[in-house]
Amino acid sequence: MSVAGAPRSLTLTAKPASLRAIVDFLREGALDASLSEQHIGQLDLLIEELILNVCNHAYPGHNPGEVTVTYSIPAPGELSVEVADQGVHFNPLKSDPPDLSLSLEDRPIGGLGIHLVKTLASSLNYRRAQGWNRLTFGISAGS
Amino acid sequence: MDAENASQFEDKCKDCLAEGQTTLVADLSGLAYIGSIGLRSFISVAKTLQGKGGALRLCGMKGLVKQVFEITGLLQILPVYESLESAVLGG
Repeated sequence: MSVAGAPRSLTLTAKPASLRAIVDFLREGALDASLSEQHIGQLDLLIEELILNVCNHAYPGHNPGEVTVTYSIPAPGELSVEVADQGVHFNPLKSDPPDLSLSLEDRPIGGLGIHLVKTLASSLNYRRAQGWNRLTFGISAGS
Repeated sequence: MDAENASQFEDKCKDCLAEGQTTLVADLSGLAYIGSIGLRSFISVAKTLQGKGGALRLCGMKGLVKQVFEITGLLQILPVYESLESAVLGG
């Protein structure tokens, strides 16, 4: 079991094909943290949105860089996850919230991913440090 | 429904559209997961059908899928039914 002070990390190329391995990696943490099925589903969703965000924005051009995912278990029932990349400075949390009052006709097709992340994460922080984008989120049985 | 398989749903709906059908029922009772990529497909198909005078009717939503539709306000703008039978009947 991973405990506080013993985080586990996985580094892969920032491309959509890496998503499955990252989801499987975090599921090990979810099981160690004894997260419920409901929270594991939320974890899957959060990591999919954030990894695809890195794939789409961090490394413009044809040669994607790497993304490092790290998790720790601050307490039973809680999982803390950091998604880090060395791509261009980009804070996804600053994106404009979607207008959910629009009719279907006027609704844009996309723009809901970060809104889902903001709503489902029990905690969420972004910082830029020494050339790294570091986005940390928490999943908690209490949320 | 994730980045890997959302396009399959969209392709199937396009096939139905090509056959002239403008109202479709999506039974989501077997769907355990959906992210924003999947939502894009639902919104895209629903907009196309509405533009042709039809609709995308949904039923069988539960768990995380229902939560995701709720959070994104889609429950308010898409026709959602309790059962497959009521979705097929419409109204």
